[in-house]
Amino acid sequence: MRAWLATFTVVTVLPLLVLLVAIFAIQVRREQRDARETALRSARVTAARLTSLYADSISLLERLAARPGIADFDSSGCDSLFAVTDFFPQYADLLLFDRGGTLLCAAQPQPDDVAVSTAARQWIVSDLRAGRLVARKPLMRFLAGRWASAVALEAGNGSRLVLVQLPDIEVHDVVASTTVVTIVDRDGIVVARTAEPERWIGRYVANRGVAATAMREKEGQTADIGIDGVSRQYGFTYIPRMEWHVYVGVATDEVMAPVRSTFLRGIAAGAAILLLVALAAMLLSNVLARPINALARAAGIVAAGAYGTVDISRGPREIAQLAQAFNAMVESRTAFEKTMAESERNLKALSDRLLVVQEQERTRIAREVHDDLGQSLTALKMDVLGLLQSVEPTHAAVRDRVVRTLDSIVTAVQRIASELRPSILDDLGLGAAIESEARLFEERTAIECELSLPDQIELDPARAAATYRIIQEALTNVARHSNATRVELRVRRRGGDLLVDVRDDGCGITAEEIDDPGSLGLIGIRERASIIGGTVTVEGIAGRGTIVSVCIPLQAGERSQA
Amino acid sequence: MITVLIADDHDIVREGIKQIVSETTDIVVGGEARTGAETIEQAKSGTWDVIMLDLNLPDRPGLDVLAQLRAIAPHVPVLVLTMHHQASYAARCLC
Repeated sequence: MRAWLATFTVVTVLPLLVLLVAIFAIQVRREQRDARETALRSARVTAARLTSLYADSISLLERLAARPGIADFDSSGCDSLFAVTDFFPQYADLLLFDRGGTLLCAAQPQPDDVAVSTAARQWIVSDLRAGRLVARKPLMRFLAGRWASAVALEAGNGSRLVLVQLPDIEVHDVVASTTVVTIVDRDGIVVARTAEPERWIGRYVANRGVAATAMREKEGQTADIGIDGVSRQYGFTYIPRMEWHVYVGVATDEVMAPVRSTFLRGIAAGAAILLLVALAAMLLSNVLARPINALARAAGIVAAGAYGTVDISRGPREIAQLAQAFNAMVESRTAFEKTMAESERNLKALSDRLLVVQEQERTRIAREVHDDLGQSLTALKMDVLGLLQSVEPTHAAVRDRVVRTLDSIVTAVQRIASELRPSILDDLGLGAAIESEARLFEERTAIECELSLPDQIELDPARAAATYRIIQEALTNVARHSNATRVELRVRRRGGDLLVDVRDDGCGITAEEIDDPGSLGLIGIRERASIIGGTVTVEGIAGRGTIVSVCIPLQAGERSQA
Repeated sequence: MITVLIADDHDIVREGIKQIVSETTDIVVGGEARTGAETIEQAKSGTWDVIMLDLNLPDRPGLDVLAQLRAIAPHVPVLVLTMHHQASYAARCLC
């Protein structure tokens, strides 16, 4: 029952687990796809901002450069620079260099951007002198904790206007905190990166993971390994005017975190449900199993030969009905067995009594035969012998025949009396009786009988008679059935028992013959042994012979230990 | 003259023995006993040259009676008359 319930639980819960895993897998794919789409949108927004920023910057710088004060720069031109800074909401600095790279004017930065402007000015001067700051080619740099972009434009007389702004390329519409925006130029050099910019800006990455994909496909989304080796969900796009590739990546781990959390919560909830189901199943199992186990135990007791009923005060009605039927069956069988046992006891008592009476009757008849018939014959023989002494020699043949007949009758009477109840048993004891029986057996059957007896056998008359009859019956079986040439009759004491072994070298009794209810000789042996508390074992080996072993307690009232 | 005590519970046997003995000239039946007790009694009270003893007496085993006779009259030979042919009887009687 418990196994069945366990199976039921597994069958119920396993599909739920499979369903949960499937939902998890679908959710994972959906979350990753959503993350890539968000990243792509973010990349597009960033690209659009940068494009707009660049276009606006170029447009305004062109107009500024065309102003007379700038085109034909003199020292007073610097003031006009300040007048246009309001057009650039992300303005950080506006610089004017002469042909030789000398800074002629600079717009004053906002008080809160002083640090950035100072750093930007050093960066611009440095790149300008190094030749990296080329007209209309935007540059970006991470300065003092902020992104700075720079665009240069040639003004009059070989002078250059450089606009430094602080573009907002942080990705605010991407929820993930690990979102990384990377900008790579057409040569595969990192222009900007929101994570570890100092490490990556200026490095060649065109042959690495997502950078290679972005440069090859221009726009799209992918799950790939970033240049820093982190797995991310990427969206990427291209800025044609600037020839920049922008890709935005969200760490896969972060994308997976809520899904994983949901999955773990689902697993926990599933485990809790499983536990509850298991507990309920166990409870139900106990409720069902208790009466069934009680029934099984009772059935086991009955199978073992005893009787037990089932007490089922709780449990399903059907099982209670089954238990009632079982109890009724057991009670019925108990009553039947009691009747049978009583009948068997009565039969046994009757059988025992019959054997005792038979022995008594045999003794009485033997005495009658011996005392009356035997003595009369003896007297008759003496008289006849007296008469025959006067018979003429011519009647010698008749006389001899009469004598032989008389002798034969006397011998027959003696044999009959002896077989009925051997007086030697009463006169000389069991040992002499066994010895006499063995010699008679040899004479009658021509089967050699090797006898082994203890010096003394102390048995009461009833036990001695039973033992004698058992041996007599065993020898009769040998003569009738064994086809033996030799029999070994061994009697010995062991502790409080007398052991009798009758072993022949005949064909060997079979198991079927041992158990055959028609084997009256063996039944008689067992019955006589049983009356005096003895036990009998019979064993046969085909072609080797049979051994009948009897163990008889020496004292009445004891049971054989064999 | 040889005086014999016959111990046998069967009248017909005693009569038969007496008849056979009567045909002799040197043997005389001097007494008869029907039981073991009578046999012992007569053995003690009389003088016997031979006691003829049946081993099957009604009151006690003949072998026991024989043993008592050997005790009270060790020099009187006892002739055992019995139908038992087994050698073990003879051996026991000689013990």
